[in-house]
Amino acid sequence: MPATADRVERLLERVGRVLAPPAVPSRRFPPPRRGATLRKHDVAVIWLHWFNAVVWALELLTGGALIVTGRYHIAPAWFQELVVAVFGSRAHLLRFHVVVGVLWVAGMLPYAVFGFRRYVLGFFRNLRLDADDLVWLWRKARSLVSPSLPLPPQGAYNAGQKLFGWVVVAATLVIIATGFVTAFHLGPQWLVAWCVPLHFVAVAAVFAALFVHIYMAAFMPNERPAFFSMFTGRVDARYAYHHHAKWYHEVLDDCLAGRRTCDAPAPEGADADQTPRS
Amino acid sequence: MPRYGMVIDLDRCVGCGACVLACETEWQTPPDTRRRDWVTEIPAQGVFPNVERAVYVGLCNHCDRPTCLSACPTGATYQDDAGRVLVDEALCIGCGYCVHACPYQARFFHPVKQKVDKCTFCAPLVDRGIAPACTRTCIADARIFGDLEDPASDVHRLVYLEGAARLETPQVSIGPNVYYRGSPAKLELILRHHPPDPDRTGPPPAGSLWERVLRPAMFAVLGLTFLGQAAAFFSQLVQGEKFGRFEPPPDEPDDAVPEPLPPPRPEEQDHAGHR
Amino acid sequence: MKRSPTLSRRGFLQLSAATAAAAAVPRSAAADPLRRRGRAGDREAALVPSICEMCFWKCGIRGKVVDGRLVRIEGNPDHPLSRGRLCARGNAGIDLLYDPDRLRGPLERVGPRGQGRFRPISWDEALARVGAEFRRVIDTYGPDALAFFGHGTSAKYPLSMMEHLGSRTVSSASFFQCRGPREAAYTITFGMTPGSPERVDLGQARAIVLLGTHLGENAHVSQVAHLADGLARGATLVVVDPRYSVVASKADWWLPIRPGTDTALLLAWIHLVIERKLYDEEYVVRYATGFERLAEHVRPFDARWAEAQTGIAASAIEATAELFGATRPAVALHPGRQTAWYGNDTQRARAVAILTALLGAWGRPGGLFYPSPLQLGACPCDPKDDPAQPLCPEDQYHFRQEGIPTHCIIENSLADPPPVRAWLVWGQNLLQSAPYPQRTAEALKKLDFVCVVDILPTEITQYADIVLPESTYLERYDGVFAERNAQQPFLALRQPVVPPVHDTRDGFAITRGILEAVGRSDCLPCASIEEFIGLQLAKTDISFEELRRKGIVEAPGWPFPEEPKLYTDSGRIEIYSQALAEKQFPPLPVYVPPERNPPGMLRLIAGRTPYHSFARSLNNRRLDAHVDDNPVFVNDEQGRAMGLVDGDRVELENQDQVRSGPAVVRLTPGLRPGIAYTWHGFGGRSPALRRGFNRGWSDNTLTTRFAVDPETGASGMRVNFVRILRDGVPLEAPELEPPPTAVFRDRKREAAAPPPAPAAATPAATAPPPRPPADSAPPKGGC
Repeated sequence: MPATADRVERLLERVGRVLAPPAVPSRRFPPPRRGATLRKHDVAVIWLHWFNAVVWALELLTGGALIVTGRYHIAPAWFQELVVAVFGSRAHLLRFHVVVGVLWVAGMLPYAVFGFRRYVLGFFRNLRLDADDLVWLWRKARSLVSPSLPLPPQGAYNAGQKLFGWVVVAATLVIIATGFVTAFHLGPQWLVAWCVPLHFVAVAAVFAALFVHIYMAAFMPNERPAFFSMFTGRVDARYAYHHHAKWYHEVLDDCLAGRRTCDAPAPEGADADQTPRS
Repeated sequence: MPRYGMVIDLDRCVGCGACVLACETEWQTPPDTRRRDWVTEIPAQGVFPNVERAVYVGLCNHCDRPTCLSACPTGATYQDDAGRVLVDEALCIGCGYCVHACPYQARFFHPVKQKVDKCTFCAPLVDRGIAPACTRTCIADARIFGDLEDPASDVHRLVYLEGAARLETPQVSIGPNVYYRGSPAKLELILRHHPPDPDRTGPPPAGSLWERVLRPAMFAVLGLTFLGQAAAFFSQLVQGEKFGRFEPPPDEPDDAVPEPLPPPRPEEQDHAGHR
Repeated sequence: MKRSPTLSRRGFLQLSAATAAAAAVPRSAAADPLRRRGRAGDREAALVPSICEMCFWKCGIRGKVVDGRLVRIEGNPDHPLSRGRLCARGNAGIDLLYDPDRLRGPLERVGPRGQGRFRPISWDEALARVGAEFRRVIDTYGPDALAFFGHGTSAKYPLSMMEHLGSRTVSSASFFQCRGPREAAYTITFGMTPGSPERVDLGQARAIVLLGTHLGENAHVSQVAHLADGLARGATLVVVDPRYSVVASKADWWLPIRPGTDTALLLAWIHLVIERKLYDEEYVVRYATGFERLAEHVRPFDARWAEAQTGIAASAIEATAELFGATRPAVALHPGRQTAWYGNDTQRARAVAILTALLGAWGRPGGLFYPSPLQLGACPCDPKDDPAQPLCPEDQYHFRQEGIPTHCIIENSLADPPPVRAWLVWGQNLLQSAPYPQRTAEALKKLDFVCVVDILPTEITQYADIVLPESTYLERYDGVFAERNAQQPFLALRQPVVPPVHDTRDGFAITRGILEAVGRSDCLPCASIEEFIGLQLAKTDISFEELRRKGIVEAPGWPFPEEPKLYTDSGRIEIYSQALAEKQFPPLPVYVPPERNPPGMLRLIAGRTPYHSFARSLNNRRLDAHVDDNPVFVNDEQGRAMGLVDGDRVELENQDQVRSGPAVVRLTPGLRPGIAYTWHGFGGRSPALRRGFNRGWSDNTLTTRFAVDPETGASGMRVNFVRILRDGVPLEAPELEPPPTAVFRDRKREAAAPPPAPAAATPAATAPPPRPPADSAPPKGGC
């Protein structure tokens, strides 16, 4: 292991500890038995995810076909024509794009209003990058040359997912803000003029990340439990033990302490057999 | 198909602004914004008594090669078969790029409609056989509107036989179809004081940045991402399901399994011990 | 391929000229579909023909009405004079109708007079109060104690009421502050006034002469069009104006005259025309009288003399005189309109009239034409001839018309004891139109009773005891207009385009209401304006219904009779006026040199901007958005010598130490030194006009001096001088007298020359590449 890489790693860890010291569970639990599952997402989150997926598909489709001028266009002319043919006219396309955008915000608003603690704060807590995450990212990069390098334990989301999360959160806010400013002309002319490319950039950022997101979920075998969890809400406990060790321990710990309702509350001093089961 | 044009007769125009008010009231543009149509006084220039003054009567020139067209991201601005440059309000998002892209500053943001607005050569009226509002109201008959292609029309005669001039400079020559006839001295004054702005032939900085930097950058990022994913997928194909596969360790705790969690850190040990 | 219609204005004109020539009175029924429909935006709109009153020019309008709301006013193409044209103000008329500051109902003053505090009252209460006050004044002090100031078309009803009540104390601003001198001069010379619109045949003239007549800037629609037509047909234009006005910029000859010396120029022209035998001898011998005395009278006034007086080069005076001789009788010498300038204005207007006569231009194409004998039935209450002169000295103002001079009434309201006790002010804003408004305000405060009839809460309404709101021209009938002063005479109807928006009444109804309240309604046989119109039309074969539908009905006219009939005492053109001589006035025009500028001061001259009808339209939101300030224009050389910079904010102080509000300086080479020029009507002082309040500065408050024209009593207002103050420090205007000069531009040759070639470095106009016509037919021969 080259010394410089280690020094960088130590530096990253120190920086990371300033950001957030890695959460350490109060006790260590043994790996779960085969077949055990843990609840990761509730129905609301699953719904939100697929609602987003559909909106994104529609908005990318219509938005891409809306920009027609040679200077700025994204999609080829045939694609624009195709979409216009489906919608009847570009005016319909624009209207649809705006209406779906507004419905998108309307769909997400109840989460922010009625489930602020649970969904917004909870989500952001999960996105917090700590020292382990920085080291994880560094080692992930290094693993391209030395694949055997062990990775630090991860929380509910690994550092890569957290980065994706941040991109999505930031871009979503930008997209909504710029979209509303443009569609309803909220603000002076210069602001609107800048909002259009900002909208575009934010979408592009998510779009690039979306490539990875979809690829990981749909093609990467070792992420398959995560993929299925977006349908069932549950994740293989053994997968969690290995890929999201900190989260695994946190869940168990919380269950024991009664901070979290579990399928079968684990008694004090629980061992592997008393891990929550499906 | 006709090709519409207008001739402003500077010798007849008295700068009374009737055309502007007719336009304003016909198309209900708000009084306090820029307008579709304007009359700008160029005060007397020269040395008493050898002076000259002129009135710059301006409107959209419905240019042959309009610069506003390509500045519009959504294609709301278009040119119809009669050569008129029009805005499809249903498509306009009010970004104002075209406003910046008009060297004659003939476009403005309509604060009520929240769209870009401009002279249409009164297209809805002309298509019903009624002359434009400004032309009908002109108290000195200084505006002549008609079909440039029609050899019997006055505009054709004034433009092609009598040499009515375009408001063009060597820097900005985009084929305006509003022509000016009359005293050369007045014409020269107008050109000197209100030449087409060479800095206003394209979108504003936001649009230029988008066009020149953001769009290529987006394609680059998307391309790279796509390539990376393609490489990963290819390697998956070659290596089979082994690549990055999740292999659960044996059922019972095993020392061979890498320790997923580091030991509790010293400062947290006490706390852990208490539990 | 279907050829698209040519929509040029000229094409339309040719077409309508053809129809006008072919059609007798009235037009064929086919041209008048029963109901005219138009569109406003995407909606069907009713088109109601009527007549504009944003100024007094009476252009034809068509109101587009959707669901009872006026959405747009456009020109009425059937109107023989305006032909669908409308000026900026006419187009903006809709914003008078829906002006949020309009008077919405009768008001009664609360609090001290002039403070503008009112309470709304009912029409019945208001009229009862007015009637009671008028009756009291008449009964106590006699009918002449009740004074009337009127302006606008509806002022004819109260004028007739005044006559009926026995009061001769009436005054019309449009005479005494505006047209008076020329009306008198032309009546003296030709037996009739030049009319309004002036019957000048600009369209057929070969030479057009404008003396200070800022045609174009006045936006007198049909006249501007006729001028443009005349110029396009090759007329030579001579503009006499110290300012390079819009029309001066179209002139072949610009004579930047020293203010107030026009009569000298005219006398020199007359001198030259006679001396060089340029006049129409046959015409003069046949129709005129007193030519020999004139020839004798003008002998000393040669071009050299005039050069010294006017600052115009003698050679230019001679050349223009030669021009008149070469182009007569088609010389359109415009009589002018606002001719109350320096207090010797009838004499100047007489010189114009005499020169017209010498050139044989009266009653000839290209000169001045004759009115139509078009007559309407009169209401028995119609004003008859001018009442006798009650309040001014008997030996004054013999040639006044339309009442007695404004200042007579004002002074008689301030005398002790005042012979005038109550005022009825009708559509006339004396505080912005008449000179010395400070004095007017004093009179207003002293009066027993003031009733103001107006549309907007103008300055003078603030002094009213009772305010009666009149409907706008878009909400009322105004009787039938018989337009006699057009080569194609016609009847026109002003009718309501929409019902009254507020609790307002038309002028006829208000007059009737007052008469009833006074208890003297016996003179009015008709109960309403509609009945009155029926009476007017009784003599014609046109029904009210037909006129309502069409708005316009054309009538025959004989603008250029074989034998011009002259309605003077002698039955001839009175070059030498016996009537003037009898009243001890100069029977032949005399020149009085103007007062010199006091050292360091500039002569205040007010003109106008085409966007406003003076103070009347200052509150119009659309017009205000275009012009909301009146700069003070100063000659650039003189201004620089004073240390002024273009755009400086200054104040003006007149010879009586009255100061204006802040004004923005515009330095221009297009103005003779020695003049401070501005647009009249600004500086609104009525806070009830929220938009127009304090817009610009008021030239009128600086007009504390006026020179009374002895023949007519008109008040010449160009006799005030101002000092320019910056930061309260007076700036001395150096005396700057340019050498005798005149500007000649051969516009015809200029126009024939090709446009300037495009230069690489400087922007230049480029002619478009010649395109072959779409059809293969060769293009029709050039211009």
